[in-house]
Amino acid sequence: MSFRCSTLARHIRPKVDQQAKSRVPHQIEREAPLKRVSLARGIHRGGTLAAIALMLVAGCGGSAPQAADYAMQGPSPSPPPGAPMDMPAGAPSEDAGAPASEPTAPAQPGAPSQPAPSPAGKAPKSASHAGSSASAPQNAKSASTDKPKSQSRSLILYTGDVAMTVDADAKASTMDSIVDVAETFGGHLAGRAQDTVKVKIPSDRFREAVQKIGKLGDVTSENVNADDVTAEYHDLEVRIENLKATRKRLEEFLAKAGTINDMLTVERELERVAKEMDTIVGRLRFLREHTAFSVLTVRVTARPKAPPPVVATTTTTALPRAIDLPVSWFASLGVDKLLSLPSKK
Amino acid sequence: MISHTLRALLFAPLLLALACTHGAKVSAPDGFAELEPGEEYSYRATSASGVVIGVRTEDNDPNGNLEFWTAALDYKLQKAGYAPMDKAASKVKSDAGMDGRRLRYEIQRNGRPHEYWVTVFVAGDSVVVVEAAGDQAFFDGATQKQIDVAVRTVKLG
Repeated sequence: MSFRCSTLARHIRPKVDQQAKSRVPHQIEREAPLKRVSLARGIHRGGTLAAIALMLVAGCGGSAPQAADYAMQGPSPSPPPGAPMDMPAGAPSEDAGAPASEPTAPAQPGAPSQPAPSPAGKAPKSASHAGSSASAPQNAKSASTDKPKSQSRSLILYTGDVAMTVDADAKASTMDSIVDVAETFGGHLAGRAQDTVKVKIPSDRFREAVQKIGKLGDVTSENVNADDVTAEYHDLEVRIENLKATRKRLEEFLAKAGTINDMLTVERELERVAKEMDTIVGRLRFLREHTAFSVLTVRVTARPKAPPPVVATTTTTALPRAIDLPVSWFASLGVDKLLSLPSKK
Repeated sequence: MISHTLRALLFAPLLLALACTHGAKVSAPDGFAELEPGEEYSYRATSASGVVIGVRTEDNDPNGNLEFWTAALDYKLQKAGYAPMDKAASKVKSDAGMDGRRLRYEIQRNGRPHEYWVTVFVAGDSVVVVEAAGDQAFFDGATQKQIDVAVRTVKLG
């Protein structure tokens, strides 16, 4: 069945809406900036076709219209090209875009490794960003559910800088050793310059790794900065969940839009929501990656050469003297003369 | 007037003695035997273990004070390889009231460490140098004490 749900909806919805408008023209609820149409009203007034279309949409779990299309088309590996409800490229999907599907949340350095908190199945934590009465029950329900595990953990961005000196001929090997240590702890090389090597180390083993790296040379300075992004992370999680709820409602509205203008308005709003979700997902991904791994930058410089050893100098050079005193008896002064006893015959 | 004459008479022998110092001597410590002084020394004695004490009496020429001769000797000896044992010369006062300076050195001789003590006095036109040396193994505390005592007995001949 190649007929797409969205196309079907386009063909069907105007009729439904026209009928609906002609009967109750002012009963379309408006929820800024969206026009909302009651599902029940649509079904009641739209007739059989409209009801089928809406049921299709509803039957697809209320997700993006594409899902409904796929349901009608059967298995299809690619989304419908040019479909008006296509998400922008790279837009987060219900699963992929949500932080729930992301693998790990980092642990604190030095803390024992723990299973990554899985925000999967997380519902919006609050309705503060929903802005819609329709989402309130859902959010209220979500709020009553368990807090995500990640909320109980700190997400901290760690960055460290270490400066050390080593023997000049051991500089290159020391930089190699730093990378080796990072890899030993599950990290990897992140960059290398003439005097600097940057490695990423799992945050939960950061301190251990820094200590081990510090033994490779004489540490002259060491700085570790920690930036707690827990609040930001969870705020973004709430926002993404609320945006998903908003998107879902918009899709429902779109399915019921009676006029081209309504559809365009809803689509514009969907696009805005998708862009916002993109931004948030990107930021969430950044925070996850950067809290999972801490960045350590090590500056390795050659140790200054030790001053040449002091060579014992003779008293001749230690006591420069231009002339000798004209004292003849000085020549016979000393142990040799004193201890040379006269021999008697 | 009379007192001036008496004072002059009393100091005359001392002045005469100082003017005619051609052979200062020390009292030989116990266990030391006097040796023929030879040309260089005005007095010399040795212990059974070979610690020797000798006295030189030289002209104060170029004419210098105690500090001058102390420094001159120190330069000379260090230049010759003698290692000073003290940071500075130590003050000595003879039993006769003469001020002197003592310098102590170490030096290797025949593969053995030796100590060499030099005490210098300046008396008018004369410079009196009391030397003592010996193998460090025999230059023990008792010997050092004997040498100290002997040095203080220095007398101008």
